[in-house]
Amino acid sequence: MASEQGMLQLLQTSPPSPAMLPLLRETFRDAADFETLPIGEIGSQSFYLCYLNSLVGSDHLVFRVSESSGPLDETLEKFHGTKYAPGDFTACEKALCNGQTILCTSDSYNGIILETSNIRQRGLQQPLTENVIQGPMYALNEDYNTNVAIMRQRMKTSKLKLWEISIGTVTPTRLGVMHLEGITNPLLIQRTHDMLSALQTDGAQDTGQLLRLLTTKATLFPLAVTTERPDRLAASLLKGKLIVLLDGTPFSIIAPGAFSDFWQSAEDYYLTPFIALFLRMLRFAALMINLFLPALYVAITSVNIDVNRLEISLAASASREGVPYPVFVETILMLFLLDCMVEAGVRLPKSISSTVTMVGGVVLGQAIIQANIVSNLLVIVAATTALTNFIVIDYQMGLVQRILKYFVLMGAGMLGVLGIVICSAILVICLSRMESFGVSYLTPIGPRARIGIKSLDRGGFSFFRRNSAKERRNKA
Amino acid sequence: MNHQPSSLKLSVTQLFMLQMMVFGATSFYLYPYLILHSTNQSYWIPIVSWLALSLLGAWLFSHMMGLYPGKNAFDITRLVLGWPGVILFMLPFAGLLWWVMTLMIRAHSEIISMTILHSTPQWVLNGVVFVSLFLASGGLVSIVRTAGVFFIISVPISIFLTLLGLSDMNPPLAKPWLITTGDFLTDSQFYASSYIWSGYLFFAACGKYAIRPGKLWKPYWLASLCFFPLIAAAVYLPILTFGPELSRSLTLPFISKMDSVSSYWLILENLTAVFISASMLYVFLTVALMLHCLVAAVLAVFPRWNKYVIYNLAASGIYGSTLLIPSWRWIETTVLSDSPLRIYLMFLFPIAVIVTSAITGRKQST
Repeated sequence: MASEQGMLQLLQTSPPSPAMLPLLRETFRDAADFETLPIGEIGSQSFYLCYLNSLVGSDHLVFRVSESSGPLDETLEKFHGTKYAPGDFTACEKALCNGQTILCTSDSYNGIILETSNIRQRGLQQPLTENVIQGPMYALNEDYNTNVAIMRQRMKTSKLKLWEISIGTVTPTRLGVMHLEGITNPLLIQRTHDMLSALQTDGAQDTGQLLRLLTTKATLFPLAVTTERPDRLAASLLKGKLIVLLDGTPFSIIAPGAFSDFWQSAEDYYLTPFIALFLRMLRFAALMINLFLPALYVAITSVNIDVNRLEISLAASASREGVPYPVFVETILMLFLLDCMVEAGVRLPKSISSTVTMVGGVVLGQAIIQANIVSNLLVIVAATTALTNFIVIDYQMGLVQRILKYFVLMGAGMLGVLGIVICSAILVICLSRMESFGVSYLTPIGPRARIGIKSLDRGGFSFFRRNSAKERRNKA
Repeated sequence: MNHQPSSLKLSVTQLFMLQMMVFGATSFYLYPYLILHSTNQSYWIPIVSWLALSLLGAWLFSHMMGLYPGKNAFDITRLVLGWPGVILFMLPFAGLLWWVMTLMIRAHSEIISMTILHSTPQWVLNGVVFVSLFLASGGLVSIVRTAGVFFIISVPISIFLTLLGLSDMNPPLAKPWLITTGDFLTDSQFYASSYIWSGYLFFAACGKYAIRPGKLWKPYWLASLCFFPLIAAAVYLPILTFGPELSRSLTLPFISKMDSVSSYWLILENLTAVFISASMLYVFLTVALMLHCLVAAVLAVFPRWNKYVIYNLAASGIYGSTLLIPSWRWIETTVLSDSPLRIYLMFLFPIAVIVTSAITGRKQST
């Protein structure tokens, strides 16, 4: 009781500003889930609880119903919670939106914020976008605190530091930047803090949107890897990178990002080095096939016919017999249809998407050949291209690939093999001009950073290293 | 994003890759023709002679750069020689860069026209200069990073094609192996062949970012020694296949050699297309490096000018120049007539700066 009295003494009744209760009622006037509940009186003071009933949990406050001061009056008997603190109007407004409850009197000018939030969230589940055969089988979820807790559970060290900020002027969202002290470059940390502090937005819903806001120039390639796997985040922290967690999304940013990171799976670290190397080479080969196979088909069947062996050229021209369109047009047509099918498969409910894929892939494919609209060979090329597109680990990079193959295709249509070379050179140049959080996107090739960050991910074949932390200590 | 940071430091490996790309861009088209026409005796002797001379030139150049760390060659020239230096060295150097870029672009577009794109107009093919413009406008950082990627792609392809070219050889055709009367010394084609050995001059704008500018000779020496087998192969493979007389009559001996390679196990019939694809990567990079060098030279004299405007004007001007070249023969003649200017810049430019610096230093000490 003494402590309750102490708690109530935090309420101020002298007037530095307007009274809290009418202010809150005015602010939340059209919010149907806003409630003010009288909970009793002490002397002449009436006490109220203000909360959004959609956000608070029912197990934090215990009420007693009695007839002591009238027919069935209810009073607050107990509060179960971890903390409470006084707050002014701004703090109370923010607290209410976070699911906390405000205890105030009818004429107090501040309120006591009680921790009563009951955030709705899904439990820990398997990753939806980054499946592995071997490795941890849980992923982050949409709750910021849960995600921070998961990272703390994986990395039980005081060196794991967390810097928090709230972004968004209309709907503030919690954002945390984690790094490992002594491993992450301080310049990178400072640069990231500066970038995030300078961010001006109404609100951020996802880390993908956050990355877009952080990019000063319009660019096709994603600026950094986003992942929902805590093991991948932990491995990145150990490599000297930092991670950005955002409330409301299971995807976290690993910064800085390099082009080679997008071909690296979390599983690579759990396999033997040679298998991991093989898998990474396979993914890279898939990238090459995806980008260049349709273009190469166009180049060697329509522009540079003499590049191919005669037998293959004859087979290609035989398969095109009766096709009325130029190679370039038939390829564009086929790839466009294929992309439509992929998009339909992604957007439709699972039960329908399999039917669409069947109709699109088998029926339409067969019909299009029989109608002599495209050649047999092109169907093989298009199917291979579609297949290789799904080998890419990062979803955003997969989308980039889908666009880029049209770019290379246009180069091939105009200048054949030379067009492919020119388009590839332009792509490499684009990548060479890009930087992610001040570090070269082509790391480990070329000068890595403009801001003096040198101790970052060794990239490339770093999974060959058995104990990087031990090596680092030895070097020190 | 495109500004050069003062903290940027280029390692020996990165400069080595840049130099390898320069060798790749210059070695395969006109060089075999010039060497074949410079002598009838041992062909390796004129090659090695220029190699040795260029190693000396690179050492002099890096010694000059080492005297003023943190500055590029143009700033050094202005600082040491003043306006006479600008007129005597920077102006001719800028002119040489302009010509080399023009000839390189036009020569490669001619080769493409002759081999893989017979009906594509020259004005389209000459447009590849704008790819280099895109690269150069990203700054030296972008050039060096791109060099790393292009190096990984094009150098192995060049080596692979050279190894494939070792088929159908007849070694006696290259005789005499050890005899020379020094006849090449009186031949202008020998001096014209110096154009592939002047690559260290393009470090003029890179020295500022070298970790040790006084050791700039190292990447050049390494690159020239590593690329030497490919240069020798560019000269010797046509001779060993077609014989010296027939090779001499060919406009592009090495390309003709590539055209003649046929291996059944290869999926590709036409290796020339692959060779040209790899060569174009060398060309994009080298032209970008030279464009960067040219803009650095202009900025050294007119520091307030907008560099992006200069980049665009230079690339457009070079594109216009390539359209004015009437024929392949004109390219050959221009490379011959450029020789005195090139040799003057390769040796006299660093020597003048070193000597003037020494004299000034002595005067100040007394």
